[in-house]
Amino acid sequence: MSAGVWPAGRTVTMCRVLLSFASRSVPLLGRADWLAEWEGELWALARRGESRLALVRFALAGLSEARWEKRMEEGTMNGIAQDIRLALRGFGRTPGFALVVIAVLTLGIGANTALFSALKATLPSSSPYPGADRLVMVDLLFEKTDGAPADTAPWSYPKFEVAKQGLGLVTPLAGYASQTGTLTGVGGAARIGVEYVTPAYLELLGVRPVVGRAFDATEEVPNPALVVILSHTLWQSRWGGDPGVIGETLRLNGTPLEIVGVLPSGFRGASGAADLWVPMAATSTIQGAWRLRRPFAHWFQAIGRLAPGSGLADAQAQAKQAGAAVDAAYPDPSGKGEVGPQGVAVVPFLRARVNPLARAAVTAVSIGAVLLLLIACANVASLLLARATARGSDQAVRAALGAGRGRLVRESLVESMLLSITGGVLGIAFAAASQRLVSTAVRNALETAGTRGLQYIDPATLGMDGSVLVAGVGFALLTGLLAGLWPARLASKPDLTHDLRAATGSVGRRREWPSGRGLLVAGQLALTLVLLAGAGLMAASLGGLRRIDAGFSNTGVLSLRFERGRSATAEENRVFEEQLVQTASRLPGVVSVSTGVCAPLTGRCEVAGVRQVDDRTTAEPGGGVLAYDVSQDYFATLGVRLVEGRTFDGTDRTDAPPVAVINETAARTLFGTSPAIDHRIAITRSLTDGRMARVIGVVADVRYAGLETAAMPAVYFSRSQSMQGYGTLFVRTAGDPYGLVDAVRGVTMSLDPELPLYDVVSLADLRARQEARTRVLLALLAGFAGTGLLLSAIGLYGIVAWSVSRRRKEMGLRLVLGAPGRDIIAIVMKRPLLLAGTGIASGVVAALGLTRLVRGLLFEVSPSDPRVLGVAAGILLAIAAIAAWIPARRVNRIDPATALRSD
Amino acid sequence: MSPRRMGAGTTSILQAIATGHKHGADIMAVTGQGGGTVYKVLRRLEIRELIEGAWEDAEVAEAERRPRRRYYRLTAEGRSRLSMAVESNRGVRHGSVGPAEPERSR
Repeated sequence: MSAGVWPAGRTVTMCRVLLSFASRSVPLLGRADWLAEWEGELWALARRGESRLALVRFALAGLSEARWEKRMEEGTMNGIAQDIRLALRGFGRTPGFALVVIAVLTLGIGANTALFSALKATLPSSSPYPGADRLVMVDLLFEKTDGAPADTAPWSYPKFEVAKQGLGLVTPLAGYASQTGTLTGVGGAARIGVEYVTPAYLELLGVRPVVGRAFDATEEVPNPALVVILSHTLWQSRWGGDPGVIGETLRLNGTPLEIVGVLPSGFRGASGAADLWVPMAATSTIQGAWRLRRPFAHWFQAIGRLAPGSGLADAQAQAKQAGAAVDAAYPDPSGKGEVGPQGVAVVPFLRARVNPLARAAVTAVSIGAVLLLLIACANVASLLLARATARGSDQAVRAALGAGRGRLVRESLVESMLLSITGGVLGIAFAAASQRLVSTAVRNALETAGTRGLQYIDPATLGMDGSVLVAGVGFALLTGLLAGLWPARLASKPDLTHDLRAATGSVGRRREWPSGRGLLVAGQLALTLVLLAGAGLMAASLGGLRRIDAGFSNTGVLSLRFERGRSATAEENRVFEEQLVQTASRLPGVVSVSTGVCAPLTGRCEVAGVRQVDDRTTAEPGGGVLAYDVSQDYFATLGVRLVEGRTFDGTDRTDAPPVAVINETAARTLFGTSPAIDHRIAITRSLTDGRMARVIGVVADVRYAGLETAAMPAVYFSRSQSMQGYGTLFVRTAGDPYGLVDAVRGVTMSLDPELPLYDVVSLADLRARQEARTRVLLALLAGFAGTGLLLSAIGLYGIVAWSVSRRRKEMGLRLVLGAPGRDIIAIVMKRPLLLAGTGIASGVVAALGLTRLVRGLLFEVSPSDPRVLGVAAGILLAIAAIAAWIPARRVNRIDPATALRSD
Repeated sequence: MSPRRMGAGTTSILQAIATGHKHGADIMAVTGQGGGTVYKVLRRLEIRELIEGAWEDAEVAEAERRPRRRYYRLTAEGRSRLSMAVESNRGVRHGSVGPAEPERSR
């Protein structure tokens, strides 16, 4: 086209430049035609003598139209809708693929979403109280002389008074003790949670009664105010929410208390378990004057609020002086300087209420869930990559014809996003459904932990709220991006020459090992190894816990706690217990019945010091001895092995000389290798009045404090010689222990209608609770590891199958040339196994780094235990070999004739 | 593609082509619509195969010493769709040709 055909004039030239510029937006395929057409029309307009303005407007319209052509090709809204239709049609053609991917993503996103809410609950920020960031726990400290971290202890009332005087920067400061008590006087007797608190407690936590009043300053020690405030729940269940309840009386452990108020619904105290609040001053009446008088009776916690304008550091500085004052007022009575000075610590409430073990556990599982999601991403990416590669020639043709890169990238992303959003929606539903499971698991895992009488994590806070939903959606989008980006990048850079030639059949496919997929599979194997190692460590820990001999046989034994009011005399209690044991023994199915202080594995029961052994006064053995009063058949009922001598019998009564049975640790500590029988010991405890008792037997160690805590020296006394008003009833049966609960309750009701039995649990369950955290962690990590294993096996299988189908011709040739099938399988399997090896090796390195994070959750196994890592690597390698061998084996079925004729 | 109502702008462009205005510039002049609008509609009609575009003979353009021009004509489908649209428009708005109104697509 010569310039001569164009009318002269700057406007026309400018318009042509404009159009030529505009044409660059037009996809390559139609660009020349587009420009020619628009120039043709421009010529016609100019020829017709249109105004300059009209020509310029026409050229500008061309500019906008060219952009529109581009958008049409890449598609804006229209294009995305088309892409979605395209993707859906693709999934419809391969529903198996789509279903597998969605299932994988549902699991990955669901697990992460569910754990996100658990993780959120363990963050120090979640608190039910207003202004909780200024709340502090004030602890009593016992320093160690050897420089080890100090022991935190509860307060005694006299020490609390001293500390309170010195802690002006923590005000108000309140004491509280979380206990259980027997409620009578309204409906049936029940065991309920009670918090004994100083009057400032409720105001401190920002709670006001909905009916009646709070405690007032007159209800402070020493005024023994016998009043009580109810929880909303108790008010509703026992009084039907009647506002006239104020002024009525209920009985707590037999002591009448006047109801003065009702607290708002949802508030259960710092312990999260209280139904009654009673002024601490009333304990001197309800439980005994010693509660408030003895400086070394440590039994309650202190919580306070930082005074306006003072910071944590100021309060901590002041606590140092307060600690010195406490120590000066009540120095160590032994005066031997074996224990260090006492102190006071101020700890932020929000930090104190996070259970470090639970946090570690939730963190460990969350890491596991993230690893699983990464495996799922890699898996989906690898599947999408396979599709993208299969479509490679198609993409190349389209790219050559001018389809923009953006368009090709978007198609891949739309696919992965569709899958991940579907997975995300299902995952969030899955998380919501598993919420109860998670909160139960978390609650069980927390059962064994708990200091300071603080409720650590309120399982009720585990719920689907906005942030959890946002997290779920976030996980879904992130997954879509992660899984789709790589295939998208690949799709956007098609190897045009190669793929086009492949499409026309002029060259064979050369890329035998798509490096992208190989890397993804290796990565999946590495992540799976970390999960397997985590599960392995938990399995090893659980195995260790299972092997522990706790000293008792836990099958068929039920334990039930009881506490008689203070009104009964020792003699009345003895008669009651003897009748209880006798009547319960006659119940059908019961093998034996006995009473003791507390059930094994529940706590340290009562600790005392050894005062005298034979003729010499002794130093306390290892922090004291357990003092434990048991009835006649206790050792038989719990199946505790008698090592030497005898256990208690009917002759060991009040009027007989005191006798004692000791455990093996006590025998070893007190008497070394010499026989313990007939030695005489006395311990510092009021109930036996410090009398010397003759040792009549030695029994095996029983773990009372907890499964992971070695037994401490224990001295058992005959309950007939040392009666208490409270204890635990043990019932051994040949059948299901829980089948006896109603019958045993019936027996106690007939003997004492106002005596509830509480903490009813079988010894087997007590033991199971100790293993719960480890078991839950094992179950979750093993589940993740299993899923990861399956996914990476599928990934490896896919890549080998693909490779085999690609190399049919070569394999056929080898067969024709006489290579044995075995050799060909070896050739095919060499690279996948190398790949698996690389993945596993890097997994081992990653595991060495990551498993250290769970150190605190392990029992008697090192985080880098070589056996665990070895077994994990072995399992993974075996699975990888099988996954590679199944498709590799198919080369044997290749018919050389067909293979050679194929492309 | 399912039959759907055509906008008045689209109908008028189809009508212009049917009455022999086969080039973009002519269509613009007859319908009074801008170049951008006209060409967008032409592209869509081409995709829907209601019209087809073709290049005029190179020799003709050469002889007349001007650039080649692209022209459009109705397909059979286009013709029937146009008469349907005219029918229904007659019912609704008595055949009036309204202002340009970009066709909505799904």
